[in-house]
Amino acid sequence: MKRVVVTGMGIWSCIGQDLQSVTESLKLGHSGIGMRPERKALGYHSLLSGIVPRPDLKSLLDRRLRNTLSEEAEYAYMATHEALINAHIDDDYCLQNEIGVVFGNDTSNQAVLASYLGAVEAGNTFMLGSGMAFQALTCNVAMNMANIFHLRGANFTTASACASGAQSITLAAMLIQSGQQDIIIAGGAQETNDKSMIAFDGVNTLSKRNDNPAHASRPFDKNRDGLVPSGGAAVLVLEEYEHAVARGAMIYAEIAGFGFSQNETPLGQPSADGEYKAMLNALHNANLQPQDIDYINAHATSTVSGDIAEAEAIKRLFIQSSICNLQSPMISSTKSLTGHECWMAGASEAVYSILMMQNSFLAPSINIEELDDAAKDLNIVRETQEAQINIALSNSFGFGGTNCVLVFRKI
Amino acid sequence: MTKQEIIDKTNAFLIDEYEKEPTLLKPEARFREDLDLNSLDYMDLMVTVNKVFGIMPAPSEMNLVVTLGDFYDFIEKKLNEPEQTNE
Repeated sequence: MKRVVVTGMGIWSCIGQDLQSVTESLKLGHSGIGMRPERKALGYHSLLSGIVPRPDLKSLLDRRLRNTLSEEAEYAYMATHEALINAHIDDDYCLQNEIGVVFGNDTSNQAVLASYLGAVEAGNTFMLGSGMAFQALTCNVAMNMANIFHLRGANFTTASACASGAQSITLAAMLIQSGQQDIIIAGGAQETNDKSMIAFDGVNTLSKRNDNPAHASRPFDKNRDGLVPSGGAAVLVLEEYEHAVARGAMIYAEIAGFGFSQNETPLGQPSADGEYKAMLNALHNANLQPQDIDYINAHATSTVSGDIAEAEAIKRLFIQSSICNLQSPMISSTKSLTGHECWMAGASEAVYSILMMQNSFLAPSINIEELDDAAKDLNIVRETQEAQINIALSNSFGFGGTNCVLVFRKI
Repeated sequence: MTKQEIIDKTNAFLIDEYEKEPTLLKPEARFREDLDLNSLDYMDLMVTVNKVFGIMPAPSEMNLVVTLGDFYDFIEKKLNEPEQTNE
């Protein structure tokens, strides 16, 4: 089976809009969370959100290319643009070679609702214009990236709630491992508008610390009260190892393995069993032992039940069942800084983990004033630390019980 | 509205919104070949002329437009049509 490496990355998030600024924010423990007070009038209980700037695309793309971009696809354009530059892949290379694209995206609520409400208001669907038919599809991100960047290989969209971004990386890696593609743009994208997460507010999953946005996302803190919705886009250029070497590409990390599982618990209820299985499957797939893992980028979203289930799953795999019975790997939740980037999270947290690996530090889990009892045996990183990370594991556990775990190796 | 006002308003949105070069905007310019407007752009133009002129063209009418001059004439004709009623 062929090896898969990361030869480029790009990001557009609430903690920075390029790799350099995101690295700084991770190192400094800067929060990207702010307030959306206009949501109060819509009946939201949480007014919190990752604050993601909309890119000004007028000077970058012509009208026809902009017209079909949803909000999340605009972010994906910026992240893909950076990732391709980072990978030293230009437009000519894309035109002359077959490059694939796989994106995680599970909603395009803004476009769906705008289409419906716009048609009702006008009394005529012809008054919607041509862009909405494309924007309203969840595959709009992969479709638009293929169109703009001339990606003429495999084109897939993964949709598995908060595991969507991680699944996009695994699917892309499988296509490269099997020899079907040499290079794939793999990423995740998430809209941040007031339509995107309103139903999640409705099931009481969002934090209501409206008086203190930067301190609202607090994974593993005893007094956490829910997640903070966020978004943007993150992209990795995945490439077959020998192809990357022959191209003289910079190799940032190897996709060492991945694992999956589906919870047996009712929808919306996390499962330590399911999460344990996904992590175990990822270790088996990577041919690694628990003690080989230096760092875990936890899924930990700051919900009451989710963080406990993950802490239990990590303890079971890395402490209780380890033949060495050693301490847990170093763990942090970058969601304490970014909020929950949802469909993008698996891809963005891959970027965050690899940036930490490359720059030899661990980003902190901020806002832990009192560690939850369930996490007391875990090595939760609460201040930025210098560290050599050779192998990192990143958890993504989707709402609905779809789990996906990625393992990255420094090479 | 005079024909010149129709021409000025139409050219203005073709330049600002549709990013067309002013030098291309001649009555004989063909929509598809010279102005690079495709069938999806036609749907967008229907929205724009509704917004700018308050007229509601049908796709079948728009498909008869070949040149920019046809478009000016078409808008003028629609503006001069008696208002439709349900009676």
